[in-house]
Amino acid sequence: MLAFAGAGPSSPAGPAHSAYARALEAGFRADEPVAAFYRAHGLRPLWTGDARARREARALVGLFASASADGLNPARYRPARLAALLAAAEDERPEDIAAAELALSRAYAAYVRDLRTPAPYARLAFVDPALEPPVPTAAAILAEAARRPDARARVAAARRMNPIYQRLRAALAADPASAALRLNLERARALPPDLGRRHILVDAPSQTLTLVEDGRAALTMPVAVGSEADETPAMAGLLRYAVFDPYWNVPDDVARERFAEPAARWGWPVIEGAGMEVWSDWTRSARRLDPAAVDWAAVADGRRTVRLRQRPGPRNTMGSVKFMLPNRLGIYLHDTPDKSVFARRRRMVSAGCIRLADAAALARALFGATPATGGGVERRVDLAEPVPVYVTYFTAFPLDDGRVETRPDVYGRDREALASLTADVRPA
Amino acid sequence: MKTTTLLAAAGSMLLLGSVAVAQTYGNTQPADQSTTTTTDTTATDATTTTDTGADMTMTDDTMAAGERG
Repeated sequence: MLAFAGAGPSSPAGPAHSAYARALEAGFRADEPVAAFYRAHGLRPLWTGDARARREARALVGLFASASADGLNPARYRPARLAALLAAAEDERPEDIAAAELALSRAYAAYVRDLRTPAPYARLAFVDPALEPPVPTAAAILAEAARRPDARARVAAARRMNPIYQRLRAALAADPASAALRLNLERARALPPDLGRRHILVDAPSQTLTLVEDGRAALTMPVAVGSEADETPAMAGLLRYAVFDPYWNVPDDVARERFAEPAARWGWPVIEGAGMEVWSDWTRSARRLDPAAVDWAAVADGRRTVRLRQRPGPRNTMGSVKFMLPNRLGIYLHDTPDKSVFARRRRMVSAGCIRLADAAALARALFGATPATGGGVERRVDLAEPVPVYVTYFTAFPLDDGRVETRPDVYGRDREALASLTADVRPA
Repeated sequence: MKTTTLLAAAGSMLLLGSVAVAQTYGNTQPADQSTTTTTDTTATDATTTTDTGADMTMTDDTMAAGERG
């Protein structure tokens, strides 16, 4: 047994430690994060301190061997080699213990990083940095492991993922050949391990919104999402406030196609008729312009840019309320004056935003009392606690009762994803 | 963040308990008038702001992305 077996902070001592420490140091690669961890922790072993610890470390080898349950490639962690190194360490030779220790830590750090790194096709755009889970460094992963008492506790902590992932993983265990489950597991991997006590899921394939509170659906409603030409992106942001009786701030490309081109053809009253104000630009020193004085042909063909915003009112594209998760993609949740779309099964009609069938219900659920609307004056209400919004693309989604619901591949993203899956982006 | 509530001629000011009801830029001014008077609800003094159509709480590039609708 090494002189400092166990997890205590006592100073290493004794000839066995010296030989182990020398062997461990000799095994470090230049600038290896794993080395940084061991040096910061007095070179104390994490997995091999005594015979009992090494027995428990076999659970780790078993975890790596079954990594396909998480859509990972077991060969990447070389479980057979790790088992052999652990067996060799039974002879208590410091060099063998050091070799097993280092190999286990490298494999564990790689495994945890893989578990938290989605395949490229499954990634979300985190539009609010506060929400993006960091991919931990190897040193941070091992430091976190060192805070837990044994290998089993470390394995349990490492495998803790969000509930959607956990249910998809269980479904994949029952149907390991399912490519649909594997690629949707990758999409769930892209979500943070902790989705938040209260969060909103918007799913483009099912065209639904669900407000989740304490793990239960507190509110569900149909939504309309982007057309095939203007897909709603997979993204995650923080809903920070709502604007009642809002203006609609029209993006430049939408302004060109939907307003400037008709105005160039039919004349500037088109702009007035749409309830639009015209401003010189998007800056804080913008000037209000007279639509009659604007060269709309120049705006339509991109030689000139103006900023349009539609006044609050019953015809406003944002309806009576817009829910703001500030982002550079211009994607928001909002009411709509045209509710007829919700009578349709396929509701891919927007320019990318998420139109809500019952925006008032979401406002009540989030804010409690809400302002009366219809006064034509824009009013902003902040949320005391921002609410995470995850805009997802699940074509196989695990339901609460354990069944997996198949959803239409409305934007054709599965085709590309399946090709990546076949290629396996995580080679050994 | 500075919280202001627009006092517009036709607008109604709402305070929702402890929830901050903020600002914004009303459309009741004539087209050739670009100044609105606001009252800062966190202080007692009235302030005057210039309406530039900008959401002062957003970064410039986020504001300029607009809302795709």
